[in-house]
Amino acid sequence: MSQTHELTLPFKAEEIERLEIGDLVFLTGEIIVTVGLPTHKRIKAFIDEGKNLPLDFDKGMLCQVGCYVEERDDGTRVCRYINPSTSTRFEPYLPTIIGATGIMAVGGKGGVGPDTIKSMRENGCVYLSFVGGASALTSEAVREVVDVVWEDFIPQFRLTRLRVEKLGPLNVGVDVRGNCLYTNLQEQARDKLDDLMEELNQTRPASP
Amino acid sequence: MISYDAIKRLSGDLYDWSLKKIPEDTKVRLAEAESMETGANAKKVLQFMIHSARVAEEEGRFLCSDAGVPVYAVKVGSQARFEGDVKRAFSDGFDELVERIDPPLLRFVQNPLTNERSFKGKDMPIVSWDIIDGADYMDITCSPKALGSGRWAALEIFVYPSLEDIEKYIMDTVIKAGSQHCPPVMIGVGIGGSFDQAAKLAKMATLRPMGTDNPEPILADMEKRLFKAINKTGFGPMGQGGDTTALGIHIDYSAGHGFTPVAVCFNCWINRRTRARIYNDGTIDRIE
Ligand code: SF4
Repeated sequence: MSQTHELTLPFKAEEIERLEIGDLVFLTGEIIVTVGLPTHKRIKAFIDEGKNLPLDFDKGMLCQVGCYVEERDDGTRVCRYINPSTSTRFEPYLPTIIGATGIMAVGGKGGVGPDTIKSMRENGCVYLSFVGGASALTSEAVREVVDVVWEDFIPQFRLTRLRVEKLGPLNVGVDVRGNCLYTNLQEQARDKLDDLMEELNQTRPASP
Repeated sequence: MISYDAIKRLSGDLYDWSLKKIPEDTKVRLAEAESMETGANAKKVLQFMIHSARVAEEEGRFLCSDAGVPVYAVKVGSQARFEGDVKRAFSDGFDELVERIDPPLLRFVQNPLTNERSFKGKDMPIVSWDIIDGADYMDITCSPKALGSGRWAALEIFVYPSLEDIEKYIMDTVIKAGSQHCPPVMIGVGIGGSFDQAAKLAKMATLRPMGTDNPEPILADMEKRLFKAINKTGFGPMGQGGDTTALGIHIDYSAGHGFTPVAVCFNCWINRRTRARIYNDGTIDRIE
């Protein structure tokens, strides 16, 4: 039976290990968001070259989440809205990032590819899926824009650290044991296909 | 006369409104789906979606941070009369909206050759044109499109396919997309005509209001049976697992030659769509 968890960042390994696919999670603490392919590419390049990243990723969460940060005249920054993007696009970079930075969760939507799942299993990391299209409620969890770096990128590509309170519901898509909700669902659907086709054939009116 | 200024303003407004409100028929379907969903977490996800959409509408916020790109289906009455450029009104309307919309848009218009992102691009907004004989108005539907659901559309050309072949292809396409396109989805299918016609039929089919009957009995029946079958695949809302994978499936066809293209496309659960008519006397009638 799937459960609902309330977690705080930085994560504790035992809490992450407890998550099972299909569980729901609400998060409080600081997360890092970006939807930039070039951003993921640069993170990987920093890792490959042994350079220090401008934000601390350890025990944290990197999200493929778009974010509109408004810069007010008084210099303060306000987040107007956030929402997830498709994570599979970042497959070439995520395995390295998970392996090298110490993040314990990746957030986005739609799941991740096989190499990322493998890296999650090896490094004790989970995938948490946001509800796409539910920006209005999801954005209400954002309390503060803590940091924005790599401002040479367009706004939604920058690395942005946000403080959130009860962000969610997020759905556990991949757990630390490498179980993947999406692969399972797809396999189950494929297994059902013959029966479903049989049903469609049985119920189809005879052609004239 | 329908003026350049009026079209410019209205086309921008239609895009703006579509980003902040889900269509009424979609609200009704989501509520039905929520009441019938048997998966406990799937039900929670549907409730969260419905609640979020309500907040977006009430507070004028975006449904999704991804505004996609503006896509219009325009039908021009043969009796409609214009003052000024019509095509330019759409592109200028988008430029103007970028300046005035609140909250502001992120940059989503992508040049596929260079991957550069901006607010402008070749053939942007995407507009398809049609004629309504006798009408003295222009009917504009805006239905923005983003990668999330856009990338799972598919088209295959068959030769003399049976209805079973067609249904199998639709099921395969649905299973391949899985839960990547923010289900529950609205599915559009186009059968026949030509390559381009089938794709257009599929897109237009997604715009047909939910709950309306397909006038072609063979397709009305196919819609009912496929709707059931697709919701038995088990993906559920956002891949949470559950009974609600599709909000609906609409199918249209055109006569063609022996080769039969079958096109399938998807709208994510927010099913963004707005529509208005603008008449020769300048009156604007907002339909959705
Ligand atoms: S597919 Fe999902 S993320 Fe993309 S526009 Fe639709 S709801 Fe938003």
